[in-house]
Amino acid sequence: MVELIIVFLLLICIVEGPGVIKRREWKEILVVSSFSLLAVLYGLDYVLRLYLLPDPKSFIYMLLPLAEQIMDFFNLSH
Amino acid sequence: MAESSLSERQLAFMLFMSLMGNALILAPISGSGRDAWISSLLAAVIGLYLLFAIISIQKAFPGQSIIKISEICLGKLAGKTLNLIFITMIFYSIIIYLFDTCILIRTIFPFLTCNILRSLIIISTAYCIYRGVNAVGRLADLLAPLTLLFIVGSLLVISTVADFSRLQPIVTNWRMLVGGTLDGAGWPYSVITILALFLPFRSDTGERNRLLYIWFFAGVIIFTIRNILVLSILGPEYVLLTRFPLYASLRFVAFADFQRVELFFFILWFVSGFMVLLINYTAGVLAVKEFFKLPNFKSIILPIGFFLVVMSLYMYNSDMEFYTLEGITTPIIKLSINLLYPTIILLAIKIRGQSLQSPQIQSRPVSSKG
Repeated sequence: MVELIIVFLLLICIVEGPGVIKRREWKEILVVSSFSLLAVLYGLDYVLRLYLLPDPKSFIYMLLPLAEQIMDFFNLSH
Repeated sequence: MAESSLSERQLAFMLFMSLMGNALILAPISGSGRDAWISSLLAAVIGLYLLFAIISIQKAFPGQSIIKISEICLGKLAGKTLNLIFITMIFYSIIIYLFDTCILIRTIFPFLTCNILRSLIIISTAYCIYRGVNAVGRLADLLAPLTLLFIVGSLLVISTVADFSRLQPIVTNWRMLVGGTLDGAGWPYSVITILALFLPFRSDTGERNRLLYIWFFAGVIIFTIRNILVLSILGPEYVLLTRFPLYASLRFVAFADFQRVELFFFILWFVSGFMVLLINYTAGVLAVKEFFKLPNFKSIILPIGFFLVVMSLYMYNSDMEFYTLEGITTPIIKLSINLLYPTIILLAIKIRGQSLQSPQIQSRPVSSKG
């Protein structure tokens, strides 16, 4: 996983880095950096098994009881 | 053809490939038992409405992205909020498609690790997106006939072992039928909404959208026949137990000395799985580009791909958890967002009508400049 993070970061730096810096589009740099940073943070959180960051799956777990009730109402099996 | 334009035929094939996607091998609506094929047919009405809705929105604002249209019609705050929900849903769909494609590949190559597989798939799709929106359209143009050929082939092959008595009696439980219809409307039919992000790239701005509707109906017919055949081969109980029912159906087929007939059709599942991932990934990139009003989208392809690979591993690293959670919640999430998003925008266009004929509408059309 750490190797994966390094490979992706290198790819982004090599492929996008020069163009983004040359264009000096600050919004573009911000978006690229934000996605990369989020990916690195979640990646490290996953590798180190810290689970400090909010898990988007918890929102889906919140929906689960409602989904199960709908399934039960319509007699659907899964 | 320009890098940033799509013909109606390419759009129609993209629609077809989005519909087929992973739904071809997985089992949508299987929870509704032996009436799943009727539910599939009824659910297509929602899909038809969504296709009509996104085409109508595009007609009202030719050349504009739905992300921008949403902000024009609903105002900055409401428009941005709705767009953010829609983009989150696209990202979640990509994570699901990525997971499904990996699981499928690992049935054939069980020793490939998820980390490597997901990264390789995302990098391959990213390369296609780097070639431009037209390249995605051309790939769909190229692969849709091949996919159709293999679909017809697989359906013909499994029809030899079908036992249609398993489909009787029909419509014994109306609740199951209605539930199945809603389930099917959520997945696979509601994924049509994603096409709204590609409609502004249409080069031939004709009034008619015949091809789009024709290929939509082709998808509906295929799903219905697939459901009838799979249910009549496996039976409604066994369909629920198998992860890939069409794959399982093909394993029942034996021709003389030929064995493992199902592997012949592996290309079909890989191609359809890859294409739906590619279309959704492109849509996600285009949506983010429009959301942040960026001058080009190429610089965000890899960062978004990186983010999605990590999030897919973070969210789902166990297929037991994935199938427990995804199977139940995804149709509801997809149906509610994919149905409400274009409906709210369409209603706003209808209600506000003339007042929307502002200079904003004449602004620069969307581009895929890289």
